[in-house]
Amino acid sequence: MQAMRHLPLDGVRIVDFSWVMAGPMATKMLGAMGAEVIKIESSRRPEFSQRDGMFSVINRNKKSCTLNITTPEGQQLVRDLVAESDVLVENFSGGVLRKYGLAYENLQPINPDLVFVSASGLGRTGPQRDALAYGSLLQGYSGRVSMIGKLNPALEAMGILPAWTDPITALWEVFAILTALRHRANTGEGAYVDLSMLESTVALLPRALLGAALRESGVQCDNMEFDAAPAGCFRCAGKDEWLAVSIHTDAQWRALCGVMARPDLLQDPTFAHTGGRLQAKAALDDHLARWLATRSAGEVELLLQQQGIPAARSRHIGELVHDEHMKRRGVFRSFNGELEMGPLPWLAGEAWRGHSSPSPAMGADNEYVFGEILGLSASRQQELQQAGVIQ
Amino acid sequence: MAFRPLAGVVCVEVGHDVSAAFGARLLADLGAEVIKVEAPGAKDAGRASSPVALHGESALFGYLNYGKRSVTIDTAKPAGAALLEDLLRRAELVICAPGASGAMPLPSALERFDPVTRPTLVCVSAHGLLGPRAGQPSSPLVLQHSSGFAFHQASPVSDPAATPPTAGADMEGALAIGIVVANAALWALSAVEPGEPKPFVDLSAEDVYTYLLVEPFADWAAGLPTRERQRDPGKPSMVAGGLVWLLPCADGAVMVSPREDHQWERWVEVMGRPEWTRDAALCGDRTIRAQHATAIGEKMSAWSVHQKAQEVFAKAQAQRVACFPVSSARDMVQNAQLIDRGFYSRLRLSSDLVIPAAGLPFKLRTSGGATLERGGEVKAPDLGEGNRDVFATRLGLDANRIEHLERQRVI
Repeated sequence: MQAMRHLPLDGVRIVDFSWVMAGPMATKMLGAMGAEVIKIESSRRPEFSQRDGMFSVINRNKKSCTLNITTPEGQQLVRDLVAESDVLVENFSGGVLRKYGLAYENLQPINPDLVFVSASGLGRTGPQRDALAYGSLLQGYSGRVSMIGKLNPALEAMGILPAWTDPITALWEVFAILTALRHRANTGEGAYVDLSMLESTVALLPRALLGAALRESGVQCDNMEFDAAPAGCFRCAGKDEWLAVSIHTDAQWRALCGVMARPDLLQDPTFAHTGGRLQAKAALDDHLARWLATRSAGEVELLLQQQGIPAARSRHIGELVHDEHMKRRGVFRSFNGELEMGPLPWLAGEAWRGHSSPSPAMGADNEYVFGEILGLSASRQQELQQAGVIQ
Repeated sequence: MAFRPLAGVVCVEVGHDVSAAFGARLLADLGAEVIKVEAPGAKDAGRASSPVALHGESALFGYLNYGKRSVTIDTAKPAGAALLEDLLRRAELVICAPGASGAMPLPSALERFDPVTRPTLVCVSAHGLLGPRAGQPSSPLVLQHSSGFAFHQASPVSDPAATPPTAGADMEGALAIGIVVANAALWALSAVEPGEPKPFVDLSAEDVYTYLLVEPFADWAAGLPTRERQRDPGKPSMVAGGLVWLLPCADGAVMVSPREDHQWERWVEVMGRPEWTRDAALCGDRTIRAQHATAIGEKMSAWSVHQKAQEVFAKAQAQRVACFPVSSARDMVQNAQLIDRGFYSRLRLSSDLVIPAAGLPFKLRTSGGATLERGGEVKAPDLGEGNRDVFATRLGLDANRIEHLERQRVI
């Protein structure tokens, strides 16, 4: 890959009010594409002082300033900053920004081509717009949880942990912002985006929803939940060793029979084609489970892969960070002596995975934001600090 | 006025792959002209995917492909390969899935194109085009295990031997990768510079699954144990720093998270101030409640099992407590909030049956008054419906040439 402009958002300034996970993860990705992200924090709120491990993963590529937006002076500083910016991202509870005169209707006259992105649990309109929501609960409300595992009071293996709704909302948020910025580049117009975390989750469940919609319409429909047989995650010998196998084609089936040394299965015409194997999935899964139960996951994984069969051990993050393939692709890479997760989920050319800089200390960029961007003198900044506005 | 920021962008989608198809559809939602290349005669594997309605039509194919054009090209024939090359050369963007099961191989033309004049490329594959595992056989299920996603979705658990690592629901993994396909395409289109090589995105599904493991990676980086799935019995279910309880109801279940002290106080009101909530040693503050989360959950369940889920949801939200029912797919199709917001498009099937299908998860209106269309009628292209129009308008073929290609079964 020769010289290429990788940072198309260079020159785009984002005022970032978002917190927890979805918004910060989205703005991290936009920062990786060159945007200048200014995180608005407050030392008065305890949640901002929690610089835990997750914070540093999802808040790279940002600057931080501290501002008390409950004060009139703080609100004016936000308006001044918005006038010098391109995008605003927020996920406050409904009505908070309006209360402070910082809603889209207030800010758009100040910056007519502003892209204002408001992310919330259920969206800013509709009968449930004011519902108090967390991503974890929306995983249940969306229907996702009832499709994974079995409901249990310990919330184990049922799609609650790790977070899902938050990171995929981040992906949608990036999509919406890139879309709005493209429109702005074409037309000079800004936009208001009302992003729903519930909709972000539900949009990825089409098989179940379309099946339900067809049945609601009185249509009998085939809604087979699997498209491979045998297929699943199977227990192997050794402590907590598991192997995922998925047989999609006749060639893979023949190869599996060969590895398992099962000429009887290979010669059974019932299983020769996908349709027959799907019908007999439970029995075929059982054959495979019994064969794998006494074998090493690592050895069988290699054998199956050599035969062109989709198979992989269930791996954990501690193994992945040392994986040569992932390192080669920059999924994990060294940064200032520490391992970081690559800033973007794709690779461009052979090595580029996005701009990266460490997550900021709270208020680390106050001088840049209030002095350089907004032009406040040092004495004025000091006054505002003493008045509890910059804090 | 409709919001169509990609109007004028021609995108060619090559290779049957769910993520590529969904990513390309998202671009079509924004106004791009997406031309899906399929094999003639034999159906694209996706056209048979469940759920299948009457007459064997796949509703899922409709969801993944509405708003696109479909052309059919037999690329095994020299004339077909040349036609595809011509189509690709004239596109602004190509989304291809070179390693997908049953997919066409990466058109060799793409490798021969001049990097400056060729289209912008987004290639989606299981393990990517670079690295020692490139080209290794895989599947969406297997990828969720090789990437760590399944392991951490079933961690911690009380009985690891009986609880296998768990893949995601429905097609959410492959579709999440589809959003990344669209994001990478939008990034790549905006990164084009005159006279410079066009962007080439190498997108690995496995990379994306791992990228989503924010909390496990943060735990690993902090030196916390991530290898053992065995639950510490004394540790409650904290999600994103807050306690979450699943409570059975008379007609289902709710999830509730009164994590802050003031929220807990209001939740106690919802439950009718039972005697046990006055026990400061059990639920005096946030830290104490975390220590006794299991015991508190049992006491709350004894109350909730006699309640209706929707009523608990309504009462809790009226008290500003985060609480939702655990829904089924049917519940979501009928959900008043989603319907009110126009989230569902109307997907028309060939039998003229119209069913709801999820649209984009955001509303958007521009300062000029254009709005993102939601709730409208959508339809997937019939196989090869775009042959005559696309080959005539995009490639300049005349009617005689198109008829000749049809007779030769090239298209």
